[in-house]
Amino acid sequence: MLRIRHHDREQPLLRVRYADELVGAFVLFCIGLFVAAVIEAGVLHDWISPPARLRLVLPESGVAGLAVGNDVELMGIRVGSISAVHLNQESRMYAVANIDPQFKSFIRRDSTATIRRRFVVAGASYIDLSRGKGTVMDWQFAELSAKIEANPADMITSTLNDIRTNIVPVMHNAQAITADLKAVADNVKAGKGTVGGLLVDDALLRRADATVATLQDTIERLKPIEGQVGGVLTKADGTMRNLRDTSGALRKMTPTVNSALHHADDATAQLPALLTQAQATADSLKKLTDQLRGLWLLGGHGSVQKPQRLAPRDIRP
Amino acid sequence: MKRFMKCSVATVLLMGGCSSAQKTFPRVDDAFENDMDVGHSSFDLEHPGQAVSEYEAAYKRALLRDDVSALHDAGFNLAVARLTLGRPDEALETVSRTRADLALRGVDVSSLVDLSVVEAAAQYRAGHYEDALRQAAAVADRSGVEPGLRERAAFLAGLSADTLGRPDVVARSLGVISGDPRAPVHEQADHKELASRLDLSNGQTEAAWNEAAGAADLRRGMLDYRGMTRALRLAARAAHAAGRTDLEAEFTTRAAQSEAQMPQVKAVSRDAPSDLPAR
Repeated sequence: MLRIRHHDREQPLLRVRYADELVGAFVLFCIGLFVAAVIEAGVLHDWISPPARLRLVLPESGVAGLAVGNDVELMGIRVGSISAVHLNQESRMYAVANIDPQFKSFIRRDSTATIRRRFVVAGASYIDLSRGKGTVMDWQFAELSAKIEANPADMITSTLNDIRTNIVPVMHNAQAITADLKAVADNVKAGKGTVGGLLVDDALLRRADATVATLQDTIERLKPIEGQVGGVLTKADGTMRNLRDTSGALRKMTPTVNSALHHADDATAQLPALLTQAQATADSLKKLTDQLRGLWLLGGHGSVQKPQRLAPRDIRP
Repeated sequence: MKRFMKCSVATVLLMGGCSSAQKTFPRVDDAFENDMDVGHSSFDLEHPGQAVSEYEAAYKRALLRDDVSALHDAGFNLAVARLTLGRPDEALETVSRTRADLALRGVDVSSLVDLSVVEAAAQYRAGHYEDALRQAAAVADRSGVEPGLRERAAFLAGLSADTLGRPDVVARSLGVISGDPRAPVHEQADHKELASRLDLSNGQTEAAWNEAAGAADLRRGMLDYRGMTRALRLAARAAHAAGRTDLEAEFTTRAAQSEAQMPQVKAVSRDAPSDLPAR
């Protein structure tokens, strides 16, 4: 209960009724406004739900300007920041990122972390996380390997170096070829070599002219022969006509020839038997001759075995 | 007349009794016999190429018969025909094949001296004079060898020894070969040729070319034209040694003209030893 004080001795200049009550109400309003601001600012939220910690193993080549306080983004949204950069036992650098817990479900084991610069080649570095679709991350030991986005300036420099490395030998070769061409051109101009000789010396052209003239003469001389060739061709035509007639006659004779061939075939089929008979007859005749030779009445000496082997005198060195 | 008829009948019966009965076993292989006979005829008619074909057929027939004697005969004849044809390498191959086939059938090939003589002749023709001398001398010194083969081996040994410059062996070979006019003509010719070679090595050049000319005459009578040209070249060599260049040219031309008519001899004569001295 509010107690109203009364001052009897002096009178206030301006007396406001219920002034203390109003002040108290104002203070209470201010306190309420402060609490509302704190709640709106999320301070309490941070206290109630602590951020998730994600360890990002940094590349061996360096951290690409990554520093404490740099942003961590996921799908273009800032989801946290780098809270510390440390060196682990394997001498690899790693960064600890505080991640807003509400984005934990988007960061999985197959998510990738890329260190980029805000303005491609300049500006502050930040970590760009990709949305994962694989196994859920164990946030007690959440860890991802970070890679540095290739610097376009480095790529351009490397490309220029490659171009220079390849172009310089080509230029040297071109220079050498040009020098050779110049030497060849000088030689040709000086009349050296076959081509130079052709350019400088007219003997070949004169010879070609003479050859053409000779060829012309030859053609003139062949012209009378052309007429004779025509006659020969006429005779050949007549001969071919006769040949055609002969072929016609032969065609008419074909049945007779076929019959003769059949007869010859039959006769040939009998030849082996005939030869065998002739062989047998000759053999019998030979035996008869041998027997007659051996008859004592004809001056023979009976049956004498003829030696099969040639005589030693036939071995002639 | 009746008496004449009786005598005729008695004569016919007597002649019938003289005829021999045909053997039925073992049967003669007519194909082999025919090949060998035709081969002999071809060889005698100076057609050694045809003889080679016939003896090859006979050798195949002998293989078909698995007949040791037939293989020996056909192999020997085939080697001699090839040698006569002017193919000493093929003759050597034939001798080797015949020996192998006979050894396969249990024959002691070391006793086949006739094949050794052919081998010696082929080696002489191929220019292997050391081997020819060794083979021929082994047969000539062997006992129990057929006289004809021994004489031929001695002649081959003498020829090879003369080419190798060993007159002592020539003289020893000459002792084996008879120069008697009653001896076979080929033996007389061999004797004259070796005597000529020995005379030439002893410096008796006139006797040498006389003996060589005599040997050439005898060879001509035997139709051994290869031996005749060899004797003519020997005579030219002797005439050259005697300083008779006119005779040398005469003998050389005669030998060359004769050789020109024998293409197979000409082809082989590249390897044969030249009887002409180097100029």
